[in-house]
Amino acid sequence: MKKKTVKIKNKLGLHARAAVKFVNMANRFASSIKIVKDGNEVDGKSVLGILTLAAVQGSEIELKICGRDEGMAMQALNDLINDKFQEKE
Amino acid sequence: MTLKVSHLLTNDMVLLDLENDSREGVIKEMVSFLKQRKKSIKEKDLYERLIQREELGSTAIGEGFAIPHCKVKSVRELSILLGISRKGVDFRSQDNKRSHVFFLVVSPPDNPSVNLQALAAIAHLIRKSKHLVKKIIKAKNINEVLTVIQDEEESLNE
Repeated sequence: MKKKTVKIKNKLGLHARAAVKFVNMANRFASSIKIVKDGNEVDGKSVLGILTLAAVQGSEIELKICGRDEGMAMQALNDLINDKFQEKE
Repeated sequence: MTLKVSHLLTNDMVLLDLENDSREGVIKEMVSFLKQRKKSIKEKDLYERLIQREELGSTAIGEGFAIPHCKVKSVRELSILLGISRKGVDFRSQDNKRSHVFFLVVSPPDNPSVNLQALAAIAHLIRKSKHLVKKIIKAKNINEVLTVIQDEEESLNE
């Protein structure tokens, strides 16, 4: 199991399109991927789950990844968030 | 979760029987309905933005729900409109199912967090509700629709 706390950097936060990108990336991996924010844990492979977090810019989420490709998954998802989901701001 | 759909949705913001059965038609119908209630809205601009957003990736989230949304300067506050289509619309959902229940979310651009909170409230309502679409379609009038949503949200808190 790998755990990491990541800050949401893009202006719009974890909005619908960003959530879809996250899920599409998460689905490339076999590992189970959970996101925790303010004590709420959701499935990182569910757009609706992610949307319920209402993770605005500046908020911190914890990624909990467990499985045979957990290292690669953590790297890829961490990069996606830090890259602001390829958004300009 | 503080914000609830039943707090955001008023009975003058429900379109019980969408007549159109195309993606464009349904969006147009909801936009002109919204225009009657929010006079400041620029209809054509809102329509185009919603279509553009759909082109980036369908907002049909699956299981019969869609959340068309965008930000426009012509609204001063968050507006949510619920549109219901009994026959369903091909909204290019990933699960290939027709969309029956549309939450149109229009928000001012200066406050992304309000928009996120509204999407979160909708996501909360629909993600564990397997029969919600059926219940909403079956409702005979607007008050029944609102009651279905209120009951569903109350059951989520138990």
